[in-house]
Amino acid sequence: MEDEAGGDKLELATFLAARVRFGVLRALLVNLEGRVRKRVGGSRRGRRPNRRRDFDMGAYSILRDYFGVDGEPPVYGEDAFEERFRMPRPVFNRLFRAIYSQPYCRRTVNATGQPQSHAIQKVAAALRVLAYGEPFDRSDEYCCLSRSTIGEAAQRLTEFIINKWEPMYLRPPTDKELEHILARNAARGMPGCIDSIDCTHWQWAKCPKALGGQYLDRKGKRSVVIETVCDEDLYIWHLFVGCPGA
Amino acid sequence: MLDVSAGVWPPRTYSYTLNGRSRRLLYYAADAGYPRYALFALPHPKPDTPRLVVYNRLQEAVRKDAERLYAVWWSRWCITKYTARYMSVPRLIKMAKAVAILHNMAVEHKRHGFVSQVRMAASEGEERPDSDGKRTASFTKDAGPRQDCVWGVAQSADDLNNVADSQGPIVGSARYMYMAETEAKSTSSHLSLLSDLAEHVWADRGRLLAPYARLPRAAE
Repeated sequence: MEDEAGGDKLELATFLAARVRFGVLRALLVNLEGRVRKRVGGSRRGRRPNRRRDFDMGAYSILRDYFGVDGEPPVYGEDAFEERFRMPRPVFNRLFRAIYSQPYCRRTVNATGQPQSHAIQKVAAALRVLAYGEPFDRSDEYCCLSRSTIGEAAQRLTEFIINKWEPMYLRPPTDKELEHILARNAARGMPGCIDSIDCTHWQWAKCPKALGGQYLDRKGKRSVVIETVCDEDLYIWHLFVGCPGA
Repeated sequence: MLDVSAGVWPPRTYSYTLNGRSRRLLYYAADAGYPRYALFALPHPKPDTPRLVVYNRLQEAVRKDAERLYAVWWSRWCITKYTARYMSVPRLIKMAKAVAILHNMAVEHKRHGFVSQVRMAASEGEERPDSDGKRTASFTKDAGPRQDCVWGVAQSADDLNNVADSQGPIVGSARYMYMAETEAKSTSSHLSLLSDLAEHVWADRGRLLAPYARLPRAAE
């Protein structure tokens, strides 16, 4: 009797928990997707058709250049890989493995039955934007993606990285790490010092006119202040962006 | 900064000894643009004694980390070198954060997981005895958070041991926050920190300044 009642309660609890989880997930999804996705209009009669980009070619050239296809070695070696992607290959692999299964990066088929772009194109193009600071349509010719796709991919990549790794890579040091930092700085001659702090200006070309007064820096340009705390390894322990310029 | 005002950061459980005086308030090495708070160790504005010159030289070397970071960061992630092309501050923040995370991941990998080893040891959560040779006697950690006053003014080491715990405002109360803010921002303790640091560095100047070439002539 008691067992049955317990089982019922358990079932009810499981059911309720599942409902709650579903609701939370849906809310999260709506929130994320609603924030990220911008309506661009879609295809309409009488407008320019999509350009016939060769997505397979884009993916193939990236794979050929940096990863090697058909048993061939890649065209560019490890040095060039790190130079172009600004990160060693294992870190890239880790990032790619994490982002590969995201809904946005998966290869889809559009309404006309054409397969769409590959995940590697989007990741590579978004990393080019971050690494070289180039405009979105710069790597169109290499990655075979449109300007708007690359822009969206860059935004999705940053949001994904922040959601996934911010609690791990941008958090205050734990006790153990703090002890290590203290010991290291004490050995350098400043006991009790927890790393160095500094500010810099990040010039803001597209500052809206309405914010122009706030973000004026001492040189008369519009800029945002970045403040970081970092240690001897140049590991960033703290980052603060967005203070109106001083 | 809000954490500092609320007394949450930096942690109060560490104490270190400088020039015979024990302190609890950990500090950052910063350049002269920062206010003269006890939280920052700034270079001395007018180094007119050899001690202060030596101290300024060392402080410069420690402070340089953050400057170096910007140089590396800008050459590695050019999106922060060029002018920002985004229209809203939240997108700028996101971009900078993502770049910082990628930078941290690359750093962690290139140091052969050195940081991650520290992290893994930390995440195990068990306190090992202090026998791992990295710990030095330059700072000590208390057993638990003290109910005592916030970080405490600089005092001689004997006084610190004699002070009774369970005095002072409760952690998190308004009075506590007020005291924390006052302490972290007090200029007088900043100045005493500077002079104590200068004495500390001066006492061991040969060893500490050896890595940095060209000792200023005044320090001889």
